Amino acid sequence: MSPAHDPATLQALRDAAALARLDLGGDEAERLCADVARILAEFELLQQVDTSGCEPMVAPLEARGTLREGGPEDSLPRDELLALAPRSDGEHYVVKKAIGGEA
Amino acid sequence: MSAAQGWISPATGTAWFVVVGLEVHCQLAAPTKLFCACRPQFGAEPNTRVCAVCSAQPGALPVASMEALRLAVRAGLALSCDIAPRTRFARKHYFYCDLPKGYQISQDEAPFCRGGGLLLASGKRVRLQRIHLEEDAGKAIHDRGEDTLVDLNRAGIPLIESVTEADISSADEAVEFLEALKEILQHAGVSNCDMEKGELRCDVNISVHRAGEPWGVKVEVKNLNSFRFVHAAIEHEIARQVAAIEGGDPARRVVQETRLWDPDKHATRTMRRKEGAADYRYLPEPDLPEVELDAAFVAGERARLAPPPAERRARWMHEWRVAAKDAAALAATRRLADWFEAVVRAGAPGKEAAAFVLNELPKALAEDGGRGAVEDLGLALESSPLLPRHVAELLRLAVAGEVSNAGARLVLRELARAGGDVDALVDALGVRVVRDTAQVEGWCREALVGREKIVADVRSGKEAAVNALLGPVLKLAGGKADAAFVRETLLRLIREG
Amino acid sequence: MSPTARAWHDLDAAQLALEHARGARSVVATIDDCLARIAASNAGLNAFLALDAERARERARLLESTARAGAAPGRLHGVPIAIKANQACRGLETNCASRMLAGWRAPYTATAVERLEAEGAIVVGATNMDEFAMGSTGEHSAFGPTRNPWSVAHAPGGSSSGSAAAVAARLVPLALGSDTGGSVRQPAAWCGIAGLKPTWGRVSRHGLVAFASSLDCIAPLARGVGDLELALSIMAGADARDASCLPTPFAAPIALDGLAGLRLGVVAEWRAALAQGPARDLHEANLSALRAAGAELVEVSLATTRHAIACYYIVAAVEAASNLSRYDGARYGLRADEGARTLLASMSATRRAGFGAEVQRRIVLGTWAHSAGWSARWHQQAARVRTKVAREFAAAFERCDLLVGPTAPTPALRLGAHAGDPAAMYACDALTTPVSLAGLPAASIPAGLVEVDGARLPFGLQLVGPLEADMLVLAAARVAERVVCPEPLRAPVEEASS
Ligand SMILES: [Mg+2]
Ligand SMILES: [Zn+2]
Repeated sequence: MSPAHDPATLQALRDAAALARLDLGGDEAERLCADVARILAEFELLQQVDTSGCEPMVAPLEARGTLREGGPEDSLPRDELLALAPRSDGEHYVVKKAIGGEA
Repeated sequence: MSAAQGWISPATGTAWFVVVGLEVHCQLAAPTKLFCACRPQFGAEPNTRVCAVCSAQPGALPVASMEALRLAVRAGLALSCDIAPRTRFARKHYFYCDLPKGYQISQDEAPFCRGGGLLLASGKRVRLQRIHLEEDAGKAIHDRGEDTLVDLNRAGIPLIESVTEADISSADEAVEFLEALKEILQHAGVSNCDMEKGELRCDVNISVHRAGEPWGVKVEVKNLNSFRFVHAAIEHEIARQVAAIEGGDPARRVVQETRLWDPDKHATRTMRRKEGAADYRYLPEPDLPEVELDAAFVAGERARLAPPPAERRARWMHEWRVAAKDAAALAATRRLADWFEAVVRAGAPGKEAAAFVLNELPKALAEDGGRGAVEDLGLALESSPLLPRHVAELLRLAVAGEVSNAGARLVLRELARAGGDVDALVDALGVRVVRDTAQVEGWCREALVGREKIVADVRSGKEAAVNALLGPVLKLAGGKADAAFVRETLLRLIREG
Repeated sequence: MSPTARAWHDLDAAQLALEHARGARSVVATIDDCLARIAASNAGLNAFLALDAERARERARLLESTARAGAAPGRLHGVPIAIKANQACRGLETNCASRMLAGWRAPYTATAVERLEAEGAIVVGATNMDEFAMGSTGEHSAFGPTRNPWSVAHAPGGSSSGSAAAVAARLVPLALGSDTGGSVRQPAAWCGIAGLKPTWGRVSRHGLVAFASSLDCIAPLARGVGDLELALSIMAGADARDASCLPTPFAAPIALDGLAGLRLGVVAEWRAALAQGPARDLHEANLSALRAAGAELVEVSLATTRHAIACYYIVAAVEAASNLSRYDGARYGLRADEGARTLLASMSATRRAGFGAEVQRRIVLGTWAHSAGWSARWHQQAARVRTKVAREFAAAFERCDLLVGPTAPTPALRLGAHAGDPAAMYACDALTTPVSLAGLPAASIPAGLVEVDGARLPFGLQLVGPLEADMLVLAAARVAERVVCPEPLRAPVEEASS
């Protein structure tokens, strides 16, 4: 079945939206997942490519040996950093209550 | 409880086998964070050790620290792991307010080392699966009002995560493994492993099964920050899992899940069930090219590696008769261990040298005249003008009775301040022990004035009473008298009366 | 001080810098006029999202006074430049054309920008773009579409829409864009200017807001290849703040007298991508002109071309989903969590409100294609196809020095042409994404005008080189631009605005 109409794919896309913290639900979310499913239908061709002997590429070039030497440097002034934040108490970033582990 | 016999169920008398694997996070003693140049400092004001990289400002990129990598490799070598010739970082994704990028830079398929392990006292070997490098998360503070507060000082601090095979069979073995791991990492200068500062944290995987049966369902207990909690959590989980299986209640059956240790309730509780298990979507980190650990670099680190602390301790105790307690303290850091061995190599007797280094040097090096911490002794000695040969020479004089303990302390203080020649200092400070009988008798007579009760006690056979006079005489002598000789002289004078 | 006969905006960046340096022209006057031209034309083009007139004037005065005091002038002395709104410049708003980053001012400056400024360039503002560089038309900006200086009914291309439009409209002689799958080459082609995508890693990405890290390149746009070469030689080179930046010493510019002896590979699949019509005729005529100028044309095949879009969109979306995880409303940018009671709800509400539809589509696509159970079939497969694409290029370069073809399958599309059909828009990138997947250096140069549905629109020619052969690409492009388009193109909107 083409991914555009496959209920399992659509459900997986809804799950992915939730995993990506884009999960407010509603028509808009449905439309978004349907769009992506249509795009995937176009991409289905990719499965036919023979990739035997091809390792997955991480990056086109590996620049080796670029490590940071040298000691510590100054951090940014806290005021400057926290001034960028939507909410802070002058010392911390302030966010909505995080209950237990991951959000 | 013996691991070999298993854990005996109090309800049924059945023997259960316990399978434990550990994941241990240790903070590296590196001067900077892993991917930026911020300098970590425990207890610093919140969000004052944060830059564009570790606060994940858009456009900022990570660059891995050479020093962190060096320490990580050293850890691998100290635990006899195989160091991979090439290693790669990977992104581990999850959303939480203490994780600025929405992913943690860790390692997945290409950790910098695999294999290795260490021996327990029983001769059992606990194997390591791998050690990988990763960055720490920040700190979320939940107990101040409606909101959650976030401090990113810790975000990006370099950690190594050591993952064991499931070779551990009891809570005691788990703690023994952790003690040994901690000693090795501290000794190699890889980590201070200060648990008070959260520098060593542990996740435990536990399952139980009956003899001849396959392993049971594995439960993870996360984020244990003391060995006591590790022990208690394992014991609690064993009892809980055995009771659940023997009880047969489907509502209480053991499920694969992540639990947390609640020290107040002295029990574990569910954090996350498998259905809700995270999908971390590991992604090879495109911002960080593969790191090549060339053979010369690894060989150089290997050459610099000290012998394992357990081996050194055993040798000191066996060959030099060093007390076990002293040996453990001296092996705490490689710096201190090396320094102590240098004292012995310079001619000092091992047992006395050990006690002297541990008892006298912290005081001598403490600037305010107070008692310095043994933990920082190695570091302090390295930058002090006091040298191992000074201590050896001073000990030789003390053992020969040429300087008293009080005199030796004065000389040590001066050496720690400005260095110098021991013999010359003993004379310059006037602390060479006086052998002149007349002079010592003079100090003793002065001290005996008005001490008729002590004199009477000694004469009636209570010889120990004379000890009360030692202090006053030594004080009068200003460090120039030998305590044994003074005691002898006092007894003689009293008896001669 | 006597200004030369020509207006500053008729000079290229190198010439302008020279005239400033000689004292033949005032930097302050250039900057003042530059800001005035931008103010006059921006309502129509919507090329700039943020201007920093004060900072620019301040820098102009400073440059003049240090030059009077005897400081050696840089190679871009007093040249006004624009940067894409995804490049950090301390003090300037870097909003990536997203509600998510509206108002965000970077607490640091990108290495590439820093290096240009060190040579005397003056950043006048940040340009419009497709949000977070995701889009091929310039229409996916939270702050309205950019318009093409050749025809305001047409798209300028994207995602570096504002930078391309600003250069084409002669508002600045040089601008930075970023090219992930064609985002500099394709708008350069659609706006009738030159653009260079360097080898991946040639220019530090420090300060470039990440879209797809293994594809992203900071890339210059100018009216001619000479300025691209100048900009690249200033920006290129190792950077302690970007571990993926190439440490190899950067090659010096190459001088080519002509195209004689150069083997140009004509990619059959790229040639075939052009439909019958004026664009195809123009392209064929240009190939003939290159042959006539001495180049040896060799036919080569890149069979994976047809898979490049799918491969690129999967790979880029997976990395984008990862890179855009940091926008959670905690540390900077938007927080839209009215009524949310938990961290989870706050993050979700913020991300839904902050990202536009195209960005959300790609985040969902990328998260899905890399999630447990789907990753092997989608992300892993795409990453393997990517290796295959790179190998095909490497094999092609056994037979030729450079590859040549159209930059895009069509000239500029009308605004709204693909509204509601993302897959159709992705097809604009059919000829640029293969090059990006392999990380190769490529230039797009103006190749003449074509008449399409009543408008005269520019068309582009793409030259592609092997990894790290940036200087060869530029040298050949410099000769080729004189061959295929001897008269520099001049966008009509400019006359209207000046
Ligand atoms: Mg970990
Ligand atoms: Zn930092």
